[in-house]
Amino acid sequence: MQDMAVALFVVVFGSILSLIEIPDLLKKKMHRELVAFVVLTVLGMSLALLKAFGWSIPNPSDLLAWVYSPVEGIIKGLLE
Amino acid sequence: MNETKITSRQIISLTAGVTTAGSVLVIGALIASTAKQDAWIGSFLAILFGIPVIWVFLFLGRRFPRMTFVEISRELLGKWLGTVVAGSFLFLCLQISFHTPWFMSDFMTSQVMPETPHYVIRALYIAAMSIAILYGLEAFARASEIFMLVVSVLFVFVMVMVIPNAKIENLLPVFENGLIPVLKSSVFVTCFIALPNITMMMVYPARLDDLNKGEKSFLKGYFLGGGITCISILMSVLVLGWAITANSRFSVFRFANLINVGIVFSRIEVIVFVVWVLTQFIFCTIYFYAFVIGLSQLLKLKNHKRLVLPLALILLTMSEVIFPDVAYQEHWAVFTWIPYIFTHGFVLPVFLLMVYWIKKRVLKMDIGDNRGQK
Repeated sequence: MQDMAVALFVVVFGSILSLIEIPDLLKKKMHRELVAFVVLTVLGMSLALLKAFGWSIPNPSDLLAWVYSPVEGIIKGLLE
Repeated sequence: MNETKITSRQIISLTAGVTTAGSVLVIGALIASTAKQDAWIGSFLAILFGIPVIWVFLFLGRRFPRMTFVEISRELLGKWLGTVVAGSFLFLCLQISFHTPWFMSDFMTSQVMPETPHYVIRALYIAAMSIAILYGLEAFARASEIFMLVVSVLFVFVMVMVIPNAKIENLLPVFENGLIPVLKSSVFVTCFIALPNITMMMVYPARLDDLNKGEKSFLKGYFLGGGITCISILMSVLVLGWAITANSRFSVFRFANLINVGIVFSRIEVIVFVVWVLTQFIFCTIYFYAFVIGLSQLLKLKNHKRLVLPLALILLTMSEVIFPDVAYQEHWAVFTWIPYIFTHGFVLPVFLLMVYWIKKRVLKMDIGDNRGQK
């Protein structure tokens, strides 16, 4: 339920933001900014929607935990 | 790039905020379970261990006074390797920007406002961060000066108020288990107080008006933040004893509960809560700012402010995903965060330093950005 509300908020906010920013960026011919802005906004919206519909979003913490799992033994040794 | 400059006094408050926030409430349990009643010695040693780390940052800053960390790594390592290293560093900044709202809402819902939904707290927090960055670094740095003043005064107040509850026998016997556990615990504390300052490399040399004063300020801020952390650990062991400190998630919050002078001064722990919120805010905003600036430098954008609001939307969702529960977070903070910050906060700058020396001394290349030096 909360996820749904957040997704709705993110989509509405993202759309309003795009309506304001994109024409301005086009007018000023800031094409790099435009691409970065669109990619990030679409990413933000789709993440919120995925979360709302109960899909699992890949967790960057899991990735880092996997990368650093070989040194877990050293940390355990330090903890004792 | 717009040339906003910050003063060396603001560097003090920013560094102190970053140093304190990574540790002040979280580290107590970890260090007390390792070093037991000698935890406070370990934390004081950790400040000393951090000095060489800070020296590396200062050295890099002196050689490249007009560059941020992303630009330094691209200058030293070339376009491709430099971009990979900078990207990995930016991922660290992004990761911390996800974490801190999670910590905030977790703390709020578990200790202060149990019925408020997570998302509301996070949304307010992320909105405040975005506004701070949209106002620019100068405004934020001035705000951080006020914040650190408030934090220092409130912190001293709480620590003085809690002295009647302190029991000196909680510190005895000193060095019961020898020096080794103390040294081990101080390695952990260094990972939480000194190494997160790597993010200051995105602000420190490039945006500073006076480099010579700035170096001293960086160290002063580090000592101020480290001192706050050490004293809070010392007081938790003095008041609660190491066993309770090791078992409580927010030990400073817990011992502030014990302050009760008449009816006027009770419920003091909310003051600790203010200290935590303000330092966390400085910490997270610096990380988020570093990410936004670094990303716009990496993508060669002219205006970084356009990226703030879309990123804030991503932050809102991802700060929910990042830690499924508290047990996951506690495991992650020890077994992943410590090696992670060690590679990025220590190995990476030392590697850059070595590359600099090899290029300068062995290959006799004209490297470094000396335009800013007087």
